[in-house]
Amino acid sequence: MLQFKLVLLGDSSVGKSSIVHRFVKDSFDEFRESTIGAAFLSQTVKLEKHQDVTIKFEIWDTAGQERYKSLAPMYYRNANAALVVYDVTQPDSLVKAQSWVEELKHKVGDQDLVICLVGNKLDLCETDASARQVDVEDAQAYSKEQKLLFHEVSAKTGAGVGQIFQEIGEHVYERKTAESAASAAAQSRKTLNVELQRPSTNDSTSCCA
Amino acid sequence: MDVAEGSRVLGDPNASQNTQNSSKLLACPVCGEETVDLLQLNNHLDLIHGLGDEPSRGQKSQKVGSKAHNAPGKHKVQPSKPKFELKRDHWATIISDRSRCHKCHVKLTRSTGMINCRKCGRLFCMRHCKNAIRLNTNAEYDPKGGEWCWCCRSCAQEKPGYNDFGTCYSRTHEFNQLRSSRTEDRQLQQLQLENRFVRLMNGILRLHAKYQGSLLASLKLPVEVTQFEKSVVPWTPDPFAFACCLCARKFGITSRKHHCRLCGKVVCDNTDTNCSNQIPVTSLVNAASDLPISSTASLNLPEIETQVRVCSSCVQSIFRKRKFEKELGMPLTNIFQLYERMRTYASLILSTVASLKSTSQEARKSANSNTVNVTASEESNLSKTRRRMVGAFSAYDKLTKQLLKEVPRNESEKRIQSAIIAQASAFILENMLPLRNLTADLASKSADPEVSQAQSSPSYENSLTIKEIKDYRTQLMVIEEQKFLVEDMIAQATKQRKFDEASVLSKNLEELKSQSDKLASLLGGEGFK
Repeated sequence: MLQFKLVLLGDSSVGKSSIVHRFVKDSFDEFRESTIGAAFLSQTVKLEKHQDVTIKFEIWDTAGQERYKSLAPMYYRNANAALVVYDVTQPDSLVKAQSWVEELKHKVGDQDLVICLVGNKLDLCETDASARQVDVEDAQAYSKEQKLLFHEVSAKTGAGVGQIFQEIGEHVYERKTAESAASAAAQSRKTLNVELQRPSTNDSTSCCA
Repeated sequence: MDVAEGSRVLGDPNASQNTQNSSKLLACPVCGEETVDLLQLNNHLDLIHGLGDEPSRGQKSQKVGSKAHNAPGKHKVQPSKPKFELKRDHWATIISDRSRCHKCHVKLTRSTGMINCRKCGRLFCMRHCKNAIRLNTNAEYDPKGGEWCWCCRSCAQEKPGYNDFGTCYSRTHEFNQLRSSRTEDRQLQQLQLENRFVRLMNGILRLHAKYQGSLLASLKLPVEVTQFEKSVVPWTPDPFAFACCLCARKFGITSRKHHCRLCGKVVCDNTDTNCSNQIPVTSLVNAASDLPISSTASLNLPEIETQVRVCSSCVQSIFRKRKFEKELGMPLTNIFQLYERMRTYASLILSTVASLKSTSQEARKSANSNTVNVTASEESNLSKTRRRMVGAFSAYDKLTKQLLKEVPRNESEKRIQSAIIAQASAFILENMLPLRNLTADLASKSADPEVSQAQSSPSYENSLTIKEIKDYRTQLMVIEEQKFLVEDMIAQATKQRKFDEASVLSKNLEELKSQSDKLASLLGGEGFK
């Protein structure tokens, strides 16, 4: 089973832990305490697009508070995917998310990392449309510009959470298979170059010449 | 009453009776020969038995009484050296089969030897009482008048002025005397030389003045000058000189003999050694302008063409000091000017540091006692001092950089430059410390008490700023927390038999550990204990 490291980043109290818990345990806690450090959870996903291949996510749910900022690099360093979460009712959280995206691009680069921008707390907008402070279009445009995946979800209702992980899973899986194919090709090329003959030792310095 | 009577009986009357009795018949206590009176016995003892010691004579003369008063006059006793009697009451008594050597604890027998240390009186075997020191009769150290006595090693070492490597004498005084006598000699010689120089110059100038404007000048002047030169200092006769007295090169056809006009010695004129040179009078006079040379106003100095042969040693002794003083008076080169300015800043910094130490100690005291918080005036005072110091430091640093850019004129200046720079960097390193402490004090006062508590303890060894230290500490704390969490998670995972999760987590734990080590090394002494 393929394993992928996934990290959640974002401002504090945007709902990172709630999204993860919805995904892993399919539960929601109205009064979740803020995360300390980084929590670890794992979950397997069946990829519908790829003949039901199962992959496993190792999820690092980091704390959003400024104090724990120094921990984040350790978790996004070798990650395959990053979920940058913002709160659709808090415009500041999107700014923070954008700064996270920049940091990721700067420190890790796009080639190795699938970044997904996630707007959370969609349920608040459904009950009261005025609560929405971040337009979908704005976030979508930004995502397009930065070539990110984009989703709006609600961890409370569970809407859209599954899709995020499906899509991320597909992306990382495709990357992985492409990579392994490339490396296999490289491997096969390499095997052609095996030298069948030992290099000649018939030089003047050898003792029995 | 009995006692009183007895004492009376033992008193004077009895004694006088005794003398009367003894005057009739006296037997020598040594050989038993009978003598007529005490005086005779005394003589007998002195002559026959050789007991002519001072004390015994004194005792006897006391006993003899009125008769013996004449004795000192009659017997001319030689003032011999009194017998040395060391105090013995501090000696430990020897108990056979019990006493042991104080040092090696061997049982003292005849074969090991038994001896009291003359100084401390303790018992030793022969092997451990071998040192010799000089003691007086009261068993005190007396390095001058005392007698040589056996003593133990510890007593020998306790002797004032004892050294493991021998005796130490201070000869500074002697040296100073010797040196001052030498320098006085040299100064005297120099004074003599200077006087001679003045006389020579004055004479030559006088002669020039005499022949000024005269037609005979070109004819007579050189002759008279030479005559005068010979009168100033007696020249060493040529036949006695075989070699130059400075470079010791033999005279011959190619190397001619010359006389120094100041010391009269015979020297060569080799251009390599520069033993002697013809120096124009004008330059000589100009070089020693402080000497009382009577400048004849009518004379135009630059017109005088006469040259005087002077040996190099005379030039040295007359002009070297003058040249040095003249150079001292000249304006400093850039490097030294910069160095002077650096010195003023350095003294400023040092004085501020000194005053700072006392104030910060007081501040800390009041902070420790926790009774009164540091008043606003104190704090502003501190911050003012800090600003001043920072300013001084930056100025110092700037000067150092300027000095670094300066191009030295010669090798020695280059060396001096590098030395100054090395010293400056050491100075900054040394004296930045209190400044940093001060910054910490100020920061802790403004920050919340929890942080200030954490910051007052460390000593600021490495070159981190306060903010960096704060940051690194927070990071370290977070990582330690996370380590704890991950350890817990690992335990949970293994409990639930999720071994793949546990392996991921332990990998992360390793990472955390390395990160925390890195931070700890970064923080150095500022980390958590």
